[in-house]
Amino acid sequence: MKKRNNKLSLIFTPIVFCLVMCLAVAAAVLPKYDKLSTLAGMFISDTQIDYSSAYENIFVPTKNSGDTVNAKDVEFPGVNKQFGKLKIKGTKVDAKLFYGDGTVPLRNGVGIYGGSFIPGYGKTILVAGHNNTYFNGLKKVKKGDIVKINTSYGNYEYKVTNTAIRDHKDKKAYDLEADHENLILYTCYPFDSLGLTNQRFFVYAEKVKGPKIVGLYE
Amino acid sequence: MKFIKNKTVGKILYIILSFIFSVCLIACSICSVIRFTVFNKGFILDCLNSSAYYTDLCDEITDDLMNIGDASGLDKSFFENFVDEVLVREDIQKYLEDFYAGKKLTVDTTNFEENLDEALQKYQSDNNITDASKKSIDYFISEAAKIYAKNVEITYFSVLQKTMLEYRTNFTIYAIITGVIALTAAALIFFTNEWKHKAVRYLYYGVCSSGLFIILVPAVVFASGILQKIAILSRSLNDMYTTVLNSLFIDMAICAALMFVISAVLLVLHAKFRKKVSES
Repeated sequence: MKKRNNKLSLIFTPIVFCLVMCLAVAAAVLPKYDKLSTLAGMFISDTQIDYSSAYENIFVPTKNSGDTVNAKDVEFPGVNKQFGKLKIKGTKVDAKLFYGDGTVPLRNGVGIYGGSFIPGYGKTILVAGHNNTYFNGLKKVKKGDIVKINTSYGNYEYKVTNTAIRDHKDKKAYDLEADHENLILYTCYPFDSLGLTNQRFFVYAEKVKGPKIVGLYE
Repeated sequence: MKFIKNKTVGKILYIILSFIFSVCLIACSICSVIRFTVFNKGFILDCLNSSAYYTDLCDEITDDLMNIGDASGLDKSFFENFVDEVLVREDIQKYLEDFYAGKKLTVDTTNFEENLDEALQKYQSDNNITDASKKSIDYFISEAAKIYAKNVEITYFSVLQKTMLEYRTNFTIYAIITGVIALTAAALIFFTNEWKHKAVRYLYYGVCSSGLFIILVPAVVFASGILQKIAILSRSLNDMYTTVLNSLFIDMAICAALMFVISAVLLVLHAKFRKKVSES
């Protein structure tokens, strides 16, 4: 009997020691669980990151050029997703329109700055593109030209009212809090020259037609 | 028992000593593993070499440079083979040396800027570009150098430098202190016990429970597949941090395995001493 107890203690004593230490660690960690869990959440995700430069296209052409479109019928684009096309008649500007203005959008087309709005919102739409690629054609844009934006939920037209060359830090070059729908396209300046400058070329346009998104806050 | 006459009190005292030995052995092992892995420049460099860090980083730098190249009148092919992996490796090694030496962390972009300037001059002469403004070219080079430096600086390292170096010193001290206590406890158990088979058994309790405790974290980490769920936006950084953590937990598992081997040896010794006692 004593021999059996000795054998059992060889198995169970280390396990009991380990459990006691686990309990001590748990007691020390539990009060900080929320903090640790938030920290871990910053680096751990259930979905694997897609590192490819491929992008998702949610743009399906529509004929809707009416006055309104319900918010529930609009698929709001995520970052780096193509959700439309942007074209300026009489120029070479004919590009895919993305949400976000990072590497993927600007490599494949032009992109809406995340701090501005998508067409139909009734606010400012700020679109960036590279002067060497998709926005090279902006150099030919003049007052009165029509910028067409096609999305899956509606087709929009904006009339160019002005162009300007501004410093890249000039906050007066755009008003993101405007209470009317307006489109601002911008790119680096000068065009077709080697090197980089602080100057940016801006094209300002006002909405002519296209459906307003309604029921946004319902 | 030489000093402890009461059998039950003696047992309790040896169990407590054995537990202290186990706790100190765990603390000493974990501190040593971390000290010689995460806080060790050679270990981090090995991880960078064994992961695809340098290749991925060169691709990311190229991507970022192509992005400003598109805004600077440069052909897409200009940056295709421009980023020199050898230079990137040298600059990162220098960065890590400064990091572990506690020096101010900066990336010397002189070589990168010289290479870029040379490549731009060749590009201009190949494409007959004569009207480029020096100011624009210089601004482009300085912006490209900023991109290069930002990529070479290992994210989170600059923020963690002071804390890491403090912890490195502390971990060394903790490892020494807990190591000395563990050895003292082991010596007390062994030399104060009249019956060597019992002394060896108490040592076995300590070593085996340490092994069990140390194996727990890597076992949970590897079984849950949490390392595959690490999601850092930069592929190179993701590779690097995953490799570092993977190697750290493998080292912990090796440490635990070593303790199980020692436990097995102690068990054999225990049986031998016990046999001797029963024979006599």
